[in-house]
Amino acid sequence: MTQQSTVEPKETQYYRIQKRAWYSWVLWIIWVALLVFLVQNAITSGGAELEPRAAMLFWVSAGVVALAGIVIAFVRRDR
Amino acid sequence: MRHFGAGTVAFLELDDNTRKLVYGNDPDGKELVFTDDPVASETETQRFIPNSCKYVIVYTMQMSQESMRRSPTITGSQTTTLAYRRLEEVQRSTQDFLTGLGYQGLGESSTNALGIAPAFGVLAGLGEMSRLNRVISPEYGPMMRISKILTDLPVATDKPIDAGIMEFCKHCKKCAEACPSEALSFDDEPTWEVRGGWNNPGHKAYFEDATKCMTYWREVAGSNCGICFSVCPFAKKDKAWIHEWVKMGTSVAPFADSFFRSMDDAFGYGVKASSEDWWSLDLPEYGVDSNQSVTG
Ligand code: SF4
Ligand code: SF4
Repeated sequence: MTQQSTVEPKETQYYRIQKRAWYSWVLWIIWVALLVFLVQNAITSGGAELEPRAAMLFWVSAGVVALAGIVIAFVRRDR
Repeated sequence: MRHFGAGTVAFLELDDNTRKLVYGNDPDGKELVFTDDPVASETETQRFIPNSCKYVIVYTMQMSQESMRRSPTITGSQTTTLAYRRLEEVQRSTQDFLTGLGYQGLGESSTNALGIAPAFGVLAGLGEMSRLNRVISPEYGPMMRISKILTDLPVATDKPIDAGIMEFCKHCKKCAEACPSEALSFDDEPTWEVRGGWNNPGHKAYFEDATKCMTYWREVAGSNCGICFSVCPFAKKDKAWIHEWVKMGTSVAPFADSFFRSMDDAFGYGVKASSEDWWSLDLPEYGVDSNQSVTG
């Protein structure tokens, strides 16, 4: 025989679950792909290709893209 | 042939038109004569090519970008010499292989003998002519040399390609700007009008003034030059993904060619490197990546 609990919850909690728009996922995938592309170019330009200026420009571009994504994610965190 | 060291390989049929690309005489003065005799032969004054040898195997040998970007120096010019030597090795190995199969392989009796290598390269689809008046291939850019073997082995032939290279040259002119002897053409379009020494009529090209070029080699540089090869936007090692994207762009979107040329400068490509630094580089054998852009 089982005994049913008679304890009532003291308070009710509400959670608001918001679904992220589909295009938001697409934009984040593009952001990741762009970041991978820039980092690959930066690593190989500075390594096997021995092209320091190209490597520097790719690293700067990758940094800007990464920072832009982080800032956007932070600004939109409550939406 | 890849196993013997060749870069890219293609095949061409020797018909009435392409036969015109075979020289009348080899550099040693021997006359090249086509004959109905089924076996190739040679006398003191002539080399006989059987009419049954109606296919041309055209193949490339990579040169090292890291050497060439040190032009004009001995460090730069040695990759050209090395490429020609390696082409000879590939020729000998291929001739042995063909003989083993029961066929003939007639190669160059000396460097650049037998026929016009760039013309064979273009017609076999290994690349396109360029402002350098040399072939640029999608795989190696101008960083390669071309050789050929005539054979009676029946092979499937290839066709010329359009990878947007000649079109890119119309907007680029980087080699002409970099040439210290002003030997390369600044014309917007290739021309039928033959210019400069040692050039032949009958084809549309950016003719170079080879006399000016050679004078610079002998009187100023003291070695082969090759600055024009090393500054070319197609002379990349193709490790960074961007290069494949740019090549794709030049082939499908020629309106962006000027932009690609400007970006090439902005990213610092084609800048001369120090010969002293070359000694401490960790380079692969012969200074080339034999897998560059070649699949399958
Ligand atoms: S090898 Fe040197 S001198 Fe000759 S065309 Fe090229 S850049 Fe000019
Ligand atoms: S440097 Fe420019 S113009 Fe010269 S061969 Fe290369 S792509 Fe053509």
